[in-house]
Amino acid sequence: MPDTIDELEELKGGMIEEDKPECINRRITPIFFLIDNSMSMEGVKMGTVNTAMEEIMNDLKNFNNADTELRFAVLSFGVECTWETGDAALVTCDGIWNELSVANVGLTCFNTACLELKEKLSGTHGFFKFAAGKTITPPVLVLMTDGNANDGNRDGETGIAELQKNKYYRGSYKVAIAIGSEANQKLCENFTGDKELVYTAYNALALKKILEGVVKCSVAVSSSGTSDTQIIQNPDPVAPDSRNLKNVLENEFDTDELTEINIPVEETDWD
Amino acid sequence: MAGLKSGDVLTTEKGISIKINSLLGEGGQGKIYKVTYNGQPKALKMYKPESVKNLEWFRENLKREIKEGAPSEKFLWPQDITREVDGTFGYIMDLRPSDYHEFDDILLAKCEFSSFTAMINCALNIVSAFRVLHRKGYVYQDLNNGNFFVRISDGDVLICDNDNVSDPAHPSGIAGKARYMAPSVVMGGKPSRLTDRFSLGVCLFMLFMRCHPLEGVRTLRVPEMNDYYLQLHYGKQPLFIADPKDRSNGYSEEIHKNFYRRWPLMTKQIKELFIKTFSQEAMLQNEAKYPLESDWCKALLQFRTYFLKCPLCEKETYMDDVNLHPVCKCCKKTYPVHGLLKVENYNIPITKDVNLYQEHIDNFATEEQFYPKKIGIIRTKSSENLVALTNLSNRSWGLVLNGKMGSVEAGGTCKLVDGISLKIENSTAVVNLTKK
Repeated sequence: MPDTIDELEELKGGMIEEDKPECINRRITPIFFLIDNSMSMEGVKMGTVNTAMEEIMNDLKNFNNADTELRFAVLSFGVECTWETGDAALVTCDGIWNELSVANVGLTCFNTACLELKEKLSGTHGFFKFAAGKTITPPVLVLMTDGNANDGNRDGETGIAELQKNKYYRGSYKVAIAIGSEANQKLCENFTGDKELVYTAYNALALKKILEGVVKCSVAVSSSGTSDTQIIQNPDPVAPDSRNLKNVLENEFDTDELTEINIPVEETDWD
Repeated sequence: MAGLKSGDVLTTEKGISIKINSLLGEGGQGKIYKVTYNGQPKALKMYKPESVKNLEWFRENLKREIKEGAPSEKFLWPQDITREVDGTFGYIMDLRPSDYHEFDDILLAKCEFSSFTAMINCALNIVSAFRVLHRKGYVYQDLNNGNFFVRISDGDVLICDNDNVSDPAHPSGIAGKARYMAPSVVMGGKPSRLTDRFSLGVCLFMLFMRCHPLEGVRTLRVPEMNDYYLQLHYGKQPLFIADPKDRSNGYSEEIHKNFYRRWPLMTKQIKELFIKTFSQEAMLQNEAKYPLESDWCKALLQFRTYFLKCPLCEKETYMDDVNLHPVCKCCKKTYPVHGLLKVENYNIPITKDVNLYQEHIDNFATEEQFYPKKIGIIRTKSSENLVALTNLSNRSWGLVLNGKMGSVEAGGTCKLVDGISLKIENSTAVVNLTKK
């Protein structure tokens, strides 16, 4: 017999290295940023959107859990509508935000943007065409605008009427940030379908705080990342119950800090 | 509550001061800080009062938990509570040691266990910890993939987020996490010891198979997984991807690659436990049908016993439970297995360096936390076709062969021949050698 017991070390390698498993199949949480880049956004407004988005993207790159994977798209709308992140697919968050610039013409083609969005909210020819086995959580749509629609109905009713025909739009969480006192509140409300999901930012500090809060909370609710899921009785097959999102946002913004900084100012004070 | 800053000082109910060092993370219910507590680095969870409806319940529950102590050392258990600060409070617990990973890191394939043995140890540690917790009358209530820290070198486990642990008569009110909640909880029922067992089954399935047990082709065809479809596929009509009767939510080669890798490796016992956990009967009719933790412990121990070091290439391989002329999964050569050592209900392959563990002998009768403890090792001398067992325990073993009695002293070695039986503590181990 061997004289010594020399093989007591733990097993390492072998089979487990032969055929390593892949990353678990995760649901995708899609987030769309619809950003007004008409000329009126020039200056502090767009500057604030850019700096806030830089930090948000940097945070979102760490949003990497075994339940969901975050992917996003950015649609700018001024005189033209452009998919800033490309029109082929949603992109993964690598922490980088490509600075948005403003158009040199003052028009805000919101209704056209709605049609663009409608085209991409599709599983057959749009952004939700994935490999087999991939499914999404309710999309998150975040609108940021400071004015009226100039391409048809000023309240965006024509574009939103088209969007309403889209099942993914009806099945999404929608939040709007009205930037400044001259932003069209009615347009924002039409987009979200709920006045309580329209937040008005009166200055740069408030805009940054609201945008950060909106993204953090809506992503968390859509992906059900929190551990205290409330049971919803008889949920709708399409439209998500936005009460949970409203509660989370209310808690997020229920601080003296935001009330103190978000004071209506003259439109000219943004610069 | 505004966040705490580095350098802030708080005081606990025991009168000990806490110095905030840094923010470690943020969850739905609160923020976690690295702190210095009584000169020691610790973690502090501060509740967000705006997000926690029943703050007083947590305070009372934490007091009880601290008084009663952790069910086992696998739980990162509350140790002290802070005095109230800005309408809220927090509790102190141990920090995660640096060599432990989040369970999600494994699911995301950022890291992997050093061996299957370590992975099965991980499952044994989790199951054993919840067995102890349930035996003490507690319910965890919110069991999910975010509750474990895992050491990949040996499968050791630490369980966090223990502030919901309570007796079932006084639940925290938490429902759980989508996709981990038992169907009855998804449909509005209360979490219980039984529903914990469903969530435990989901975690074990994901640990081994790296996919969700209810996410077969039918579930994954849903274009948008909203509350309606979550309730449908995880509550009203859950269907196991390996359901033996109904294949309508089955696996597909294209989507479930990990399942294809791992399911064939599972022993019949392990497969049966998963099938039982995710059976229509257990999920929808009678939750008492969910397997007990002790069933899992026994099946996992046998499963682990079939993973051994190939005597030829010395890498970890897997011995099919009926095949005594196995082919190494790594070097593809047939390696010698001389027979089986049968103890309690376990079959231990007689080949070089296979270990006999205390839990083979006591069969988890102690109801305490599982700690792997080697008490014997198989040794071979192939030139003389000899096999033997060395007693690594500190007790003498009895030995019977052809009616003659003897003993194997602590540290001693006995030659294994067909029919020999060993009296180890209260168990009998019988040697069945393969006829040459």
